[in-house]
Amino acid sequence: MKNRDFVSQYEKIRGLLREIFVYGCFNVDDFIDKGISKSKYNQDIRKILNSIDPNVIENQRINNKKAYYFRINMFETSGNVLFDSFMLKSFTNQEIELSLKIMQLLTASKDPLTQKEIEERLDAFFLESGGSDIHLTDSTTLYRRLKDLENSSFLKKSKSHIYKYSLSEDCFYHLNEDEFYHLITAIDFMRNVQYPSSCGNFLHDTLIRYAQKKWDRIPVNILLFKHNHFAHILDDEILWSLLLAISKNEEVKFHVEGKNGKEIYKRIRPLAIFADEQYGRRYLMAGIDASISQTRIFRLDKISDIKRSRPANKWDAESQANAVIAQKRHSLTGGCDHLGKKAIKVGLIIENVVSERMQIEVNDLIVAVQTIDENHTRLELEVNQAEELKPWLRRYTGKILIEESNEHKLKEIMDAELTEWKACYGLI
Amino acid sequence: MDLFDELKNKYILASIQLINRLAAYETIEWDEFESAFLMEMDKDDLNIGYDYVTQLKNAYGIFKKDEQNLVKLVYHSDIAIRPSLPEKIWLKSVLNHSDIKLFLEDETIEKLKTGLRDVADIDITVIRKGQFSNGDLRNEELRNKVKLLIQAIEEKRILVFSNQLKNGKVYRQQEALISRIEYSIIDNRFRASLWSLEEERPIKANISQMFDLSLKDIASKPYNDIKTILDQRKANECIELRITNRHRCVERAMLLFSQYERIARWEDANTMLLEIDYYVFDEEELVRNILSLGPMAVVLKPQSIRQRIISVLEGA
Repeated sequence: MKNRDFVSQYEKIRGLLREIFVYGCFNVDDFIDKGISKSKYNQDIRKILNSIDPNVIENQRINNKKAYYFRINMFETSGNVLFDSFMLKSFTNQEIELSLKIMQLLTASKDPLTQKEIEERLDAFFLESGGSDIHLTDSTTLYRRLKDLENSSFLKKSKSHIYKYSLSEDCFYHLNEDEFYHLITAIDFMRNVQYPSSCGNFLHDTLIRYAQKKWDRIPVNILLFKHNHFAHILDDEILWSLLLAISKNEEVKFHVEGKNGKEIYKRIRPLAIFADEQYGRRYLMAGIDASISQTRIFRLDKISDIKRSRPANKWDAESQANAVIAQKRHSLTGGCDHLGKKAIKVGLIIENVVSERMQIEVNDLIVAVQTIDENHTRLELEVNQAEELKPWLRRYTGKILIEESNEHKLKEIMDAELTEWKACYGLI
Repeated sequence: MDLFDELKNKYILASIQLINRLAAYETIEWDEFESAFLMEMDKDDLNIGYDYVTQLKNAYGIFKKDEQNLVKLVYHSDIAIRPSLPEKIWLKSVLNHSDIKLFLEDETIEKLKTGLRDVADIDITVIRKGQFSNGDLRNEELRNKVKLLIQAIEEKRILVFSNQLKNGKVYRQQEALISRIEYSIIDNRFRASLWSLEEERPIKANISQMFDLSLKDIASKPYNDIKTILDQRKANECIELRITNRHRCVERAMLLFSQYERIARWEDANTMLLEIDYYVFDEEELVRNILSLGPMAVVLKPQSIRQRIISVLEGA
């Protein structure tokens, strides 16, 4: 029986963790309104609180009930504060007892061992610990455990005339102490910049344990990260399945939350993953069928219950993905749902004091730069959707003029918004 | 090949650490088993998992009590530390990332590639958008500077450097202690968080603009950690915003400001009040981010930032 203190599927705590991390102002009543029972909330919150660093999670009283929230100082940690929630997977005592013993036996053994030899040694181990000889190691259970440990890459199975098991190769064996500690710093950096970051965080944890065992030295903290969004790690199981499916040219099936909040079942062919570093969101660009015009964008945090399967017919994923990536060039952060659609031109007159910065920021979108006078420059951009530029343009309010166009209504929309904005501050 | 793996459960990893401590002949009293386990977990108490620790101690047949009331291993062997398959696949892939060379020598990379030769090649490329610049040029010069700065942090040495500011002004032969190398994911730039020994104040420098770097003898002055440096730069008053939930603006704002210390509460069904603590050196960026939310985000305080937004709107 699985230990109830832990979590059988990550999906079960993912939604709750996200709500706490992103908003941090929902109490138990709000979650009941969202369809989570009080007992489930209490169980899951207890597990979450136990897994997360107590220094980063606090609570406030809302309607006399606790609402948990994260209080993170990006200068105090280089790791992802949500990562520890990945270390809560439930297990059965029997499985773990057997795994730990097999790992001890294989670490001690100089030579590879057959399953029978492992079984004999486990029986001796069992008797040594004072167990009775009536019930020793079960062969089928042992076989399953060995397979699990092989799948986890802790051990390897080799065949001469019979299958034998040994520890997997130590891929760090040839590194000296200095090289290894530099590797820890390198992985500290890469785990924050290369997705899926849970893989990098697990590896970083493994390296620290390896270094402590071999050299008994804790590495110095070298790095700090700015503009690091943590919430994306909650979608790493989804991302991992998608990356595997893309690499193996497979289809995937999943549920996705629609705009009305209802879940929809989808069967798609994943093409590429995009990360929006401004808001920390990640998107899947997927093909609905073999036609290039039938592509859709999905936010990873809206996807659940993902399953991979072989495609029914041949699918040229690479050329499809390249077409998507080429089209994506015209997007600052968001999507390009309609491949093959003509890009829209947006003209801007900008003050030179912000010209350099703006040109760097949207470098991929610029098709023409023209000097107007000593204080002004004209930029012409090509985009998929003009309104996608709104948040970026607002940053330069007062220093830009948007040109009118027959292709889009961006100027009219932004002018109306400015009137509303001024009213918010009592300026009109 | 799951990411959520029982062998990566924190309690199982702590059990392995405990076995390895005993295999290295460390002494643990039988009655102190639980506290030794807690130490491996870096925790003060076991809110959950108490049953597991009791089972591990008494029923697994891995540990036994000797005549001197000490914990001993039934089978005296440690457990080797090995990365899981997803970790190996990820590592193999990042060894091809250009930034890895900022931290590792080519020889180290080759050794690792050899060690991972049998691991499947899976492309884990995720296309990043919304990075606001091409960032620092990754060249031998940047690589050498990063290495020297890492050495300065590790050995707590005094850094001597010259620096050119954006306006062209050059500061030569400055002395400072470096606390951390800061990397901005959006700007794709490296900065050094420094404590100037001459001016006795925290400073930041773009690493790409630093030159003539060298290290001096071990710092004799007390080393200022990053927290001490930062405490001096915290704004006196937090920013309070009223966010209207239109076009999913509340979610966007919460994600945009998720890297700051913040606290939120609903004012009514459609508006959220958000308080953000910040450092003064982040003010410019915060103002730009607030502007990016348009009329959906209104600054309630401090008056100085509210006035800045009003001035921008009056000029538009």
